[in-house]
Amino acid sequence: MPFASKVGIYIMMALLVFGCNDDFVFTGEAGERKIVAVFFGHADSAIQMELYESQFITEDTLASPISAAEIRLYLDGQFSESLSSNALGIAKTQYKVTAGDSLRIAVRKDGYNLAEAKALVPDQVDLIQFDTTTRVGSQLGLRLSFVDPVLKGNFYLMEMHAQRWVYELDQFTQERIDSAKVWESIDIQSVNKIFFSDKNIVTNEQKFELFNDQIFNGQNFVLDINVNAFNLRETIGKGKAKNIKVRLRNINEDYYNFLTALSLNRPIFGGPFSISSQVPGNVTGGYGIFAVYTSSTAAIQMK
Amino acid sequence: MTLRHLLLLLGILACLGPSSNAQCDFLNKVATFSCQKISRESAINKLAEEQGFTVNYPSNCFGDDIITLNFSNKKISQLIRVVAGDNPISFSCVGENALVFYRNNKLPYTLAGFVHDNETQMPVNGALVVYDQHWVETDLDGYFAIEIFQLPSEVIVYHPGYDPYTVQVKSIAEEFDLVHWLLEPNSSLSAAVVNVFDSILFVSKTGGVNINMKEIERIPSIAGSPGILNSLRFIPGLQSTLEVNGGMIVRGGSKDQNLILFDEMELYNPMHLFGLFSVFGQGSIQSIEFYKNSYPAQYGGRLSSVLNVHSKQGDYKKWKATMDFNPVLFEATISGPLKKDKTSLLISGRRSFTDFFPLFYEQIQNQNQLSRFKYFFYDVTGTVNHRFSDKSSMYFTNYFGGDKGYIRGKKVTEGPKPIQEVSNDEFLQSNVLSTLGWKMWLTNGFHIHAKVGFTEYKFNHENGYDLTITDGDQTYNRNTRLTYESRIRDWKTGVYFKATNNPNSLYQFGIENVQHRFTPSSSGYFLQENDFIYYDTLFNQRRSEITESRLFAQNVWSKGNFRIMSGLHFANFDNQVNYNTLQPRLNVTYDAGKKNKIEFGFAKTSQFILSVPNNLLGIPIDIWVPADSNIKPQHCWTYSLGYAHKFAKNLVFRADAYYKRFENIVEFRSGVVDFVAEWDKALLTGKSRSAGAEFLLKKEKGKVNGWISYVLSKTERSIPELNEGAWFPFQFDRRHDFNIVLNYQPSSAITIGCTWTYASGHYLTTPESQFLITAEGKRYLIQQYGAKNNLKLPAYHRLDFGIHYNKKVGNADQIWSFTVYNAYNRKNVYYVNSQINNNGTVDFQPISILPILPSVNYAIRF
Repeated sequence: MPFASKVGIYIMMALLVFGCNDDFVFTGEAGERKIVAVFFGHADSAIQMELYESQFITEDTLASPISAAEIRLYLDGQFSESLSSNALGIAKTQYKVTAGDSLRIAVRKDGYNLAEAKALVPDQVDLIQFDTTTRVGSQLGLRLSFVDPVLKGNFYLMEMHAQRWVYELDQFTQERIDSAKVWESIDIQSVNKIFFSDKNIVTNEQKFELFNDQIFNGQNFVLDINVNAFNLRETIGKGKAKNIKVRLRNINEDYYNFLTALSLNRPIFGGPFSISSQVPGNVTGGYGIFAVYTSSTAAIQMK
Repeated sequence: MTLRHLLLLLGILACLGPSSNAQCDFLNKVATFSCQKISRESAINKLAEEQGFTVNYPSNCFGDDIITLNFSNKKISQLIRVVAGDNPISFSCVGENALVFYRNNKLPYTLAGFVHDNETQMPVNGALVVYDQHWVETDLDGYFAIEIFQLPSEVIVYHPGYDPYTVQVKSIAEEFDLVHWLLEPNSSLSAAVVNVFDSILFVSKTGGVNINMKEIERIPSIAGSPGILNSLRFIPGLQSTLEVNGGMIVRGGSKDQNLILFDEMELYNPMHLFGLFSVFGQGSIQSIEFYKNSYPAQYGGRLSSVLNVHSKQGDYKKWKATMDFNPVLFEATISGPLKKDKTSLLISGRRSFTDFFPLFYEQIQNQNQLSRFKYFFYDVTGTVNHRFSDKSSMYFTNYFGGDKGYIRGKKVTEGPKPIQEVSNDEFLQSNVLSTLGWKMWLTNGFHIHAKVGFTEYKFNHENGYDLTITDGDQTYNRNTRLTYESRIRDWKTGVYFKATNNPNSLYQFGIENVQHRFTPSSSGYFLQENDFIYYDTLFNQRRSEITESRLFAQNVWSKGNFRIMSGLHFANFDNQVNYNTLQPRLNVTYDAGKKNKIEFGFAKTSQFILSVPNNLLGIPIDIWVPADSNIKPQHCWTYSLGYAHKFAKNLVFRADAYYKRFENIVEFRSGVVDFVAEWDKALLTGKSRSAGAEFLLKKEKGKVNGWISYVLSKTERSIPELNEGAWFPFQFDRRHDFNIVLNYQPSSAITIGCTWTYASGHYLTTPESQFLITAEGKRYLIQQYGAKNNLKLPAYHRLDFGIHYNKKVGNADQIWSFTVYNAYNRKNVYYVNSQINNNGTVDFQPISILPILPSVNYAIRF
């Protein structure tokens, strides 16, 4: 085959493989720096606050805390207290979160938009049952129940912890020397496929389960969950789990949507097959979340 | 004898024809005749007396004129015409020397009837019935009605694929008669036929175009399977959204703003395999009409276009079969008479091999991170057509098809207590459609069409897990099922009338009632342990039954070079709020000679339902929801102006300009999580505007044929809650859209096709800010989106090739097709993926879906 023909074929093959493809360069679009406000409030505790500055999309610098910001808390529409963020952008209220309270926090700092957030503290929901049920292979079945308040949308977060001793081995005798008894978060998986309904989006986190009362509003709800028994066994430096504790939190709707969106959120633009889900916050004029919740805890002792 | 009988007799006599009757030889005799100041009635009596024939006539049919005549060496027939003057009189010969005169008050009269294929008895749709300088097209039933101004006249019927059919119309047909003309098939395109089509139909029909199925078949397509809907993107003004999850974008409208009809019933999901294949098999389609300008008043319910797909009727004479194979799917069609010349049946079905051929969707898996799953699609179309008589027929069309994906697993753990786990995760996206219709042609030009139809689109997802543990004599069972369903179901009844016996005018009017049932989301949960059922529940969310009523009236008036279509469409939709809309439609066409045509169109359209994209299950589905008190109906006003010119050498040029204004269009609110349950709160409404110019240069015949099209357009949207109400580009605002479609036919057996398409990139919304947040013990990087559609992707372009080779073996026609999709392997950007590098910076990576795809298709037709 003549040289020219070979070159021609190679060029055609290269064209076929690489095509007329452009280099795609995305530099990001400069946005506006805003206050990122994170407020967490647990019943009977103060509201913890953290304030810092948002970054542009392609930046990799550490977030800058916003200090000396003027923070005002309003309770049921009335001014309650005023506070200021410290050098780390952190602040804490005197007020202690109470079920049923309507809260509003406003953050003012020169150079930024006014950031505001509202939250309604959810009702207290108590666990009334927590038992082991089955053990199938490596899966330990657990069941818990609670009564969902009537006539109100409730949003739940369930998490589980196992208590075990942390120990060291004596370097001479190789005997175990227990040092502390700690609670550790353990992975859980709901057997209850109810979490896959369109109103209860399964989370990928496994450290907690999110669900709402859309389909059991006002009922005594029985929930089955699975725990991998492997997580409860003794491992190097940690003893076998002796106790399992489950905590059911009744969280505000905004926080529920926020956590749900986090589980769905993938930084993909335009696909695949859908629009991206943006993580919704409830801070207007800025970014962030105001999360409040009540909780109930139950424990069982493992054999 | 009653007057009716007399007229009937006269009609029969008229059919004999005055000039062709051998008994009336005296009419050709040359004579001399003169008279002075007598009435025409006296003159005809004088002429009859002098020439030895008798006359009978109704009273006063010659009028009161006083005439003086003096003619020599004229045929008697000519003398009779002269004596009759301008009076609307015709005559027939009875016996050897008697003439019967009758008032010819029917001229111009409407000649109506059907054109059928002589071999199959199937109706010939789109044939041109040409009379003098006038022409009409046959409709789906092969029906036509044309005005005849004088007798005798010559009428010629043309259709590519048939010999020209010439008829001498010598007399006025009886009032209730419909003619039946049979065309002889001829596979070679005669020059006469092509010329007629070029000169008459060189642009388009009023407000729309008839899609030429032959042209569509020649366009190279993915996997060599003719993609009816995919190929439409080469028509100016019509674009696809994306390669995958495809949909039609017509002049700045969203993909849910196109009314897709199959035998006049709405089809809600027109695509298979995430948009790669259309749901229509080639073997089941007779014709396609597409309207984007000012569509007829009959159609409503969508803003931007109407794609009207008609099913094929079965053969009325003999049984036939076709089969198509390619690496992706198998298609078979069988057609024949259930009762010869009376009842025909056609069944056409397709099934993909994609579940046996995992490589085909490897790309999708890898990039979408879907689990390994099997996937296939199928569809079946069945039509039964029956002719009760020459004037009455019925049809029954059924379609069902779907896409199914599934993951199934079974695990057995042996031991003292054997454990069996069976899991099943599957989804089904399906359409079901059924229409029963009856048509009757009551008189010349008066047509009734009544129908009842059903259509349903649904998406089902089921996740099941069954556990069985055997412990000696005891068995523990746990069965869990979660189901999810989204569905829209319509029952439609309609009665439609056409009246064409008024010269120059076609009246159409009708009424439709659509009973919608929306079930945007329905969840079921079942949990059973041994014999105890913990849960067996079904939760319907916001299911609603809504009635939509439509009423329309339209007139198509033609005179000289003008053709005016004007109509009104009224619709009522009652859901929380009672919405009424009146939608005027207008199309004016002016034929400036045989080489120029100007067209103006205006249409207001309204839409009461919309689709909400949803991906909560990782599968792209459209969930249809109704307008309500929060989401108002969408409206659109379209203005268009078109000009067409026929050059020499069979080149046709057409230019169109349009402007569209939309009201109440929807976009998603930021931070939407649950699209389904709270869809009306998740949507924002605003306005949109679109303007563009479309150009088409087309060569329809010759060894090399095809077209080039270019569209320059701009579409913007404005939502008060987004970008502070500023105008932002529509996601598929493609500024430039350029297409080349070329066909080369070196011999009758070989056709080579080539297409190239170029379109400006579409838009995406990208983040502009980010922050780290710690929640529930974990740190998340959260990106906040910027202005809507703030990133324009690179242009889309693609080259496809196809070669079709026809060979006749015995009684069968074999067709081999070799196609190459995306011949130069262009990596068109489908979406952009972002990755956070080790150093914390963000990289953005364009992802493309379809690389170069060569394929072979084999078809055999008996």
